[in-house]
Amino acid sequence: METGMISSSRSKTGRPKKSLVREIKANKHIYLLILPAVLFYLIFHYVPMYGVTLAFKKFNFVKGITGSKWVGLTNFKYIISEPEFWNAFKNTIIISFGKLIWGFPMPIILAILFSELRMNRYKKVAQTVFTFPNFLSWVIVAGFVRAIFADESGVYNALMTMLHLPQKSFLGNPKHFRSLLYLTGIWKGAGWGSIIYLATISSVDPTLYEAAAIDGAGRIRNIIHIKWPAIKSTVVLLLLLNIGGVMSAGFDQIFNLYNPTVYSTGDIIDTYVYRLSFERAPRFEVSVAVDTFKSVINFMLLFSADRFAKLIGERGIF
Amino acid sequence: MAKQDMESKTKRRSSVSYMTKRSPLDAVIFVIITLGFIIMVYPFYNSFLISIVSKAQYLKTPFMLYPKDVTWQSYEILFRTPTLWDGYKVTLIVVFFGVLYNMFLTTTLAYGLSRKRFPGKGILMNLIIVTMYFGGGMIPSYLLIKKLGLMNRISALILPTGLNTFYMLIMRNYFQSLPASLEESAKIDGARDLTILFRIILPISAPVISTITLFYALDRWNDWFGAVLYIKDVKKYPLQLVLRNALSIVITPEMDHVLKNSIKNKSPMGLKMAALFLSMIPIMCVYPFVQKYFVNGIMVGAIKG
Amino acid sequence: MGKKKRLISLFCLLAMLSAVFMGCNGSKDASSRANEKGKQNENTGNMDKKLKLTIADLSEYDVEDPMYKILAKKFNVEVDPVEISWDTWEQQANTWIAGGDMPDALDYELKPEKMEILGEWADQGILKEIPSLDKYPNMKALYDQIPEAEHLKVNGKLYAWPKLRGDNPYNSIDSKSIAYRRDWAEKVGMAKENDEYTIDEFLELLKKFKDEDPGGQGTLPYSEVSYFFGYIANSQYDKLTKDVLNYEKKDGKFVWIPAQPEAVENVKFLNQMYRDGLFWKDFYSTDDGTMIDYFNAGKLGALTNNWTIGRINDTRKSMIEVDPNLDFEKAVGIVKLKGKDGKMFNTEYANWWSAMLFNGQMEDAKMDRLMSIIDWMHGEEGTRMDFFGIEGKDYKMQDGKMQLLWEKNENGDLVKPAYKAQFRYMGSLGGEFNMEDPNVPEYVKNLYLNHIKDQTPEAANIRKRDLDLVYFKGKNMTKYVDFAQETFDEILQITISAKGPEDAESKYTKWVESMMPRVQKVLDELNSSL
Repeated sequence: METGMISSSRSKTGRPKKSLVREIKANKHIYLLILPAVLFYLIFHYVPMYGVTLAFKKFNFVKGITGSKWVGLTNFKYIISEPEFWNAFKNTIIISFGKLIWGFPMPIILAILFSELRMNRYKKVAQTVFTFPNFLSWVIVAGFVRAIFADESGVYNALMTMLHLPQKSFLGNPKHFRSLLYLTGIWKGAGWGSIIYLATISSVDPTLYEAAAIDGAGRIRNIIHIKWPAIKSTVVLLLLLNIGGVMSAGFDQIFNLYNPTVYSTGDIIDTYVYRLSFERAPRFEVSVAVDTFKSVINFMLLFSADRFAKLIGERGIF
Repeated sequence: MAKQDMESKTKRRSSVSYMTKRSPLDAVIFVIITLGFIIMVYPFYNSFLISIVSKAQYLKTPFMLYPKDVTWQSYEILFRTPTLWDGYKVTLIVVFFGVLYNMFLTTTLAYGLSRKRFPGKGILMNLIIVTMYFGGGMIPSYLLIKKLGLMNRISALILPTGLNTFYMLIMRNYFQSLPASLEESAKIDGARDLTILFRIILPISAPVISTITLFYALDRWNDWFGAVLYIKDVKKYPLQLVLRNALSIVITPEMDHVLKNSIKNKSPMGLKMAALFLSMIPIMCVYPFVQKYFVNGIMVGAIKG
Repeated sequence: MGKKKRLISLFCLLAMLSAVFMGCNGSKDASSRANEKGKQNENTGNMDKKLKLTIADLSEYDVEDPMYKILAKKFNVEVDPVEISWDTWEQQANTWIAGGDMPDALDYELKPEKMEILGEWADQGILKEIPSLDKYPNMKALYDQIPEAEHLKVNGKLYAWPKLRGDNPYNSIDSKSIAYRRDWAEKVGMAKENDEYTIDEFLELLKKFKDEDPGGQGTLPYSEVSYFFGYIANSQYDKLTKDVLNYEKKDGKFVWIPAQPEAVENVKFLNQMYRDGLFWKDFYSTDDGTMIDYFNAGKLGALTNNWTIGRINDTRKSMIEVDPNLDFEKAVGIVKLKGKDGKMFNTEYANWWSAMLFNGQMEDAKMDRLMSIIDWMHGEEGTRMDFFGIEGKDYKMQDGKMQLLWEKNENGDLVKPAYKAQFRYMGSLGGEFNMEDPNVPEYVKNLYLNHIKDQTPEAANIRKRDLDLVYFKGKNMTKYVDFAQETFDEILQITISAKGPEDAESKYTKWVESMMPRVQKVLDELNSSL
């Protein structure tokens, strides 16, 4: 199937057809190896793929997606005609990039710190405990966040009052809300996020440490010259994938922590659309259109980031 | 011969034992981690306390340091939920077979895509990445599951999960960073691709394999939405769905009348926390097992020979 | 570049292939549906044939529920229940219908805004028309209690069977109100007879709550659950509310109520209240559950919520758990708040919620059987089963009077048997039955009833639901409705952040101006229909 198209275009670049067939034959065990996964994608992702057209159609329940009529950008216009959508769009981008700047490095730093701990048993327990917050839902975490950061009854402001320092409203002041998001996001996700880096660090060849020790290298040197290079490609990969996820800035977290006073800086696309579906009753094609909109932008971001990564010598995804 | 060599090269050592002498840095790291420890544990600890104290006690002190007025009522109520045990059973099946299935697809694809270029590799990569962003949605998936005859069957909770492209890329990235000399020396010894994969690559990739397995296990454990659409028989509901349904809180005033018969209004907070623990503890126990693959690293001996 | 072209063309090829693949089957489904639609069945009177019914609602599925067995015996049916999850209700309904798997009876969250989609489904043959109610007297009686049901018709036919909200059998007034600590009011010397307060008196009470801490735990004065935010401001201008559409006729044309000059008063009032500390400072960032917990734990002085009998009773139980010495009857009251003009205020509410839809492919015989079941459930026997349980096991009838056979728990309270099937709740002609729950003390029922009954048209300003307005069919109306939520979100914002009345007023007027372009679209639609 694919090969037919490839051979016809590749022959344009001048490669003789014969060696291509030979290449395919030589690699047949790889094709066989990846066949199950490819079949999976084909069946469960590409067969239903026609559903993406729903964003451009008015759904007729009887005629199905393929029988529904095209309505162009109507579903998109429904939502992008609202100024609140653009506020949400702006916030989505700012918050996602904020999380990249503040949140992304934390698991890495944590993994390195853990790898520097001497006591094995304590290290294991600490690592495990740091993953606990990952298992709590944001509904529950929000309760704690309020207990600490509420204007009047929160621990933080009580402390500030005691120390005669100015109080801050994290849940009611749009200026401080995002900081709260970054902070609580780190608390919740850093431990779990560090696992992949820990795994990578642990597969470093110990002879490298031996050699470094002989050269008289200290711990900081070890971190910079051994551990960091080991995890660099993982860091780049995850960074790229996160950039490709910018349009989703963390619905559960924001939904449970926000309130109307911080919509101006905290409302993101997903929370806005969620509210809309309750306040009014948009056709569900609208949410399909929103998802498509998000996906297109995410994809473009990923593509650009990947290009840039390759430009600076990193491996990239594509 | 090759096998013996490989085995003798695999020793377990900690990366820290090669460290130079102790320094004040140790103390600093220790303090940071210990402080972090406390703020990581307390919310979890408090949630557990809520699940075992009486409603009155929770109302008086929603944040506690130690339990007062202990009652196991919330857990009792949940254990009496008839479908709870079915939920555990279904979820365990889904996790066991699901993870095997996920890991098989992921490892084969990640390895296949990590080696040299082959005709069609570029296009394949593009098409795979596209699926991370674009998909048909609920209705086409529903129709597909229906057409495949998987309605109301547990395989409908397993097959569509296939593989997570994100994780596959992580694994592929790891394979790509393995030195090519590893493969080459084995090839010189006459080993075929599949042998290389199993005998050489996998053992060395234990950290990443166990990590991705952990991720998949958690994902399969937490799945619930598929069941909402595809499973009619409540005995086939996964654990998370059973608990969600048992606990759905009254959201709007209208629902008062509808849910007046149910147990939901008994001790919502205590019940919610008990459900949290029943659903989380099993999967949280997986991590310590996985840990042993990376607290102590695996030594890769000299490539030659 | 070649790679991209390849990618795009391959993508299109695959998409087209799968589209054709699916499309073929899609049309097959549609045509087969068209064929089935014509099927008629003459056999609509007797119950000889055993029928299988799939019913989807919010029940917790329990095949052992005796109710299903009773139905099986009485009506010769096999009920196949399908569970709906509350937070995925909409998705499940849409997916099942789109996938051709609509159950025989489907519980659906019908709202006026959804009438458009209901109409489409009706036109497309997805729904079965509800037959004439002459055969089903209980259904007819219930239908007469919901005048709004006329508006649920599509082309003169009824497709949705609405469910009666039985919580207020006396009138169609909403039960949202303020519950407060009467005992604390007495402690600070401000308790009023019959819980009647003018707004100034009530504000003074709240101030004393805050200053004198009668509760002993640092009394928080007042809070409102999120949905009812702004309730107390209706003491200033009672037309600005979320529950009834914010449009009214002024000089013969429709106007938007939030844009009226009086609406600003509400905003200034709330902001003033908040700055004076009469609102719990953290109320805006606290979730409803916690607010209710605080009231139950004796930390909050007054709370606005939907105080139905069930809610009041739950609060009573929680409060007594926290403080067994509490005399609830004396401790808690419901405020009869008098507005600026000395009258109480409230809104009319829809006395129904959610509706049952029926599969258009169903045979008439099955529909008849289903209707008979529903009819029975609306009647006395069925309603008794809904409220009290199984006859013979949970209650028995002696000389026409009912005797409860419920078990007692360790406190001596009667324990209601916990059956889970919700299908039993079919909007039974429940009015009086709701009052029959033996576990609810008389004084709780009276607390509720007195509050409702006192809101007569003479004593209160009741904002009515204009059904023509609510069911107005217009593109912009369907899309925007009345911006009620946006209005109250903005008012909340201003309440918390405005530094004074001028600031509040200018912020609010600026916001109203920014909304007018879209509001005008709806107003134009409405006015062109006059």
